[in-house]
Amino acid sequence: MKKTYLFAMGFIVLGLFIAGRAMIQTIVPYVSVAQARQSSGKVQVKGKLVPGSLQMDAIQRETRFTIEDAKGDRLPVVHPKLAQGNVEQATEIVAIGQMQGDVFIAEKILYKCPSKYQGKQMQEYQESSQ
Amino acid sequence: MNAAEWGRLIIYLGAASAVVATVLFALAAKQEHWLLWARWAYALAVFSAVAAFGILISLCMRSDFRVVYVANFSSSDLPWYYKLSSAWAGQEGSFLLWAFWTALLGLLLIRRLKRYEPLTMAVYSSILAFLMAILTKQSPFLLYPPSEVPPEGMGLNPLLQNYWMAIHPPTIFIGFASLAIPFSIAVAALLRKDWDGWVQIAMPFVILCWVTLGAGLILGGYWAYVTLGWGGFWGWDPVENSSLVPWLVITGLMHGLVVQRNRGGLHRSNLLLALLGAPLFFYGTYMTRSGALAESSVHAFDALAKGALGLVIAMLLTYTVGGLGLWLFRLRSIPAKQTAEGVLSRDLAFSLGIIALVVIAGLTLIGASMPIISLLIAKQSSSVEIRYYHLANAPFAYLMLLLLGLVPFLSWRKVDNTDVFIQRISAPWYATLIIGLVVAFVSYFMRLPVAVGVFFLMLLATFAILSNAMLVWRLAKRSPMSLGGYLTHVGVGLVLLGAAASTFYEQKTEAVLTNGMTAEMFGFKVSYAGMTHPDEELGKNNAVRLKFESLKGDKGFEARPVYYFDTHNPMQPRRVAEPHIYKHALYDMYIAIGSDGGGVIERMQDPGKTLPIRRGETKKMGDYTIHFKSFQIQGTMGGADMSIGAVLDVEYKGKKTELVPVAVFGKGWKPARLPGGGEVAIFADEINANDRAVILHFFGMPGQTTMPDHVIVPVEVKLKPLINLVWLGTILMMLGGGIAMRRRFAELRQEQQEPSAAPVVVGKQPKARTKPAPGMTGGH
Repeated sequence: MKKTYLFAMGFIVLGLFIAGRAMIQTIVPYVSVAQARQSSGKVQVKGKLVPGSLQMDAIQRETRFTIEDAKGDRLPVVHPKLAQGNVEQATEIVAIGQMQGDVFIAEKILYKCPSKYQGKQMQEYQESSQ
Repeated sequence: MNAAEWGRLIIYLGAASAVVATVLFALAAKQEHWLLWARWAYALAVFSAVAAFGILISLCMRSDFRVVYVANFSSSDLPWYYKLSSAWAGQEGSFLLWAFWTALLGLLLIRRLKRYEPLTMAVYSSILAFLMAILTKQSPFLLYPPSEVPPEGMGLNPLLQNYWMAIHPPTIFIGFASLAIPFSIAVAALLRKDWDGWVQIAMPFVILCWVTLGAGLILGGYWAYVTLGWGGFWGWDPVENSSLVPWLVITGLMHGLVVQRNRGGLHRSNLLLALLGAPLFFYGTYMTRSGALAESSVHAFDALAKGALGLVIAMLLTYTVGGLGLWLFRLRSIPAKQTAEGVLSRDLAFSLGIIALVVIAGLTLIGASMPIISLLIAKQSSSVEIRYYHLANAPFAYLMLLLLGLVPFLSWRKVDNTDVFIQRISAPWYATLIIGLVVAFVSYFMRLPVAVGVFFLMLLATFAILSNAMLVWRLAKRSPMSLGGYLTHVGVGLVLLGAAASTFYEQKTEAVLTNGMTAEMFGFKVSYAGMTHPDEELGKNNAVRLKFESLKGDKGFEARPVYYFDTHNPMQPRRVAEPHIYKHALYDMYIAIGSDGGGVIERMQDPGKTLPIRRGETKKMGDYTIHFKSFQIQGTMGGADMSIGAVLDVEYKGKKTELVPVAVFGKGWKPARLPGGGEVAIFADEINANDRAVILHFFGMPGQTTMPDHVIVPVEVKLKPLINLVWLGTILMMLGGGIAMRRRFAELRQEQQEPSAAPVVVGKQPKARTKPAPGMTGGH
């Protein structure tokens, strides 16, 4: 009996250890634009798409836009691929990546559209990653 | 009253009768004479759920846009099957689907419960009551005021217009609904202090839950693969995780029940696992539909109405606290019997496997809940990358696969002779080693990428496949009913092998095609051949025609990735893109427009202002004086990467600048920005090497806004080796699960026919059991 418990506990401790290590390597905090400018590692920034700032460049295979966070700070973002779906109608964008100089290089973006479809799939799968 | 108003009323009736059924079944546990009344109340609840769902379907089929739900998710131009599936495309409809299946499964369950009926059905009816109550707060039957009824519906989301998506929700919701069964039976067992009797009844239903939930997950994954264009079938998305976690727990429970039946033991953990499945799904429902993740992510459902959300939270708390509390309260009286008698025993392998499954479920749950956990702990929300799930789960997946490979050669209790074991296991073991060596050798010489973790995973998966396949082969003739588990294990091995290979060895090429240009991709010459419906512009059902001509002289094909604009809402035309999948036995070629199925086709109407110019010439265009100095050639001559630039000296308002517009062969062009605004470009098909001439195209100069008549089609092709193993594996898993389920239902039926197991059953005819007579409660 005791042995079984010890065994199970050992497993759980091992699991938590491995998960903890994986967590430290992969956790990405949500930050404001101001915090993002200070950051050195990978972060996620949420903001509104600044109207008219979106450019999709089929040749360079890049999506460029500017987001504005809740405090009104603006951040230019470059997503090094063509964004999927209706990014031009996005109301809110989450950009995941890191700063490179003054520009935020987003390896992945998630966005929410003013969807007429309120069901799950529309909002769930609107993402674009490298 | 119209049908929708009836629908609202019937939902209230259903909620009320489910509450009454809960109370009456609970009373029947003490006083038998309540049982008949309880059944009538439950029957009324079933009637309500079925009738309400029927009404919603009929409203959808008749395109009754007076109903808000129908107007939001359907339109009159849909074919009948998509009108039907719009009945579960939305939030309200999916809850009704959940209630519908819960109600119907109860009818299947009630016939098999015997003395477990009152307590189990009391718990089960209470879950149905919660679901119906949620539907009173979030009703699919709301009506528009007569003056605001829209003439046409919004239509079904084009991505959902797919037959896999039409059958995915009905399937997976059987699974979600059936999670309530082991939960209810376990509560009854704890209350009755019957530590073994519940296992026999629960077993077939647990397998039913496993099969339906599993099939639902697979259908969802297949749908994502063929329509979403993100190139994969699993994305560790919150919605996927909220179904995966309970499924893993149910998988653990299923194995635990086998141990308890065969060896007696695992009483405590089996009850615990049975109590966890349903609350875990309630938690997932809360996470994905509450907007709890919307604070930190845009990656979730719209929030439920406040009252409905409150009920979801109440449901989550009631069953989590109630179930775990009861388990803890009884913990000391539950027998704890040591089963594993030796290291090389099936008992120990099962126990370890269950732990591995539960740990994977737990780690996945932690990852998915990270936005909430981090907000609570660190006051700053964070989420984990997809990589987390691979890193955290990998060691336990290795362990699980190793056990899968060993189990066919282990017997219950312990192996008497280690030598015999080693002898039995040697065939698949050596076969795996040889395959591993060959793969390593080939990888080395073909310079394939190598990762130890992936290689290890593939090796263990191969071992699991071989040893289980061997046993399936042997059992096929002797006792085909008992091979379900092993067949499923072959399937698991194939799924993981296929997933690892198709992800890790995936190759990707991209190209931008324009009129008359080709690109080389995976041994094919690819060219853009227009749209399938060129006269409809980018109208519905349009697709891009991409010609794939084999360079090796094999047969080519035409890929037709879907690309059009959905205009149900004229203010917001939606771009719809779906990949084209070219199937080969050994690989899939996954052909998408743009990256990950999105991207843009730019259609240009106006060639701009053109100016033919030879090298060395100086010409005027508007305010610009242009001297064509030289060509600038990069990349290998005639190669796929060759680009030609025209070096221009441009004089504008007395200022000289050097500009180099570039044409990239097979890929497109890079314009150069003109001083004073606008762009100048050259196109590869207009470069005349003999005359050393090009045609300059000027765009965006004053009085001119449009772009030239060139279509740019960004194409992305992914080669996914061995992906078919995943689909083959899922089929075997479901087949194996189906066999096991048949076997366990047959066993239950047989055991319940024996007088000892069910003392009150009259007669041995199966007919006699279809209507369980009152007075079958017993047990007190």
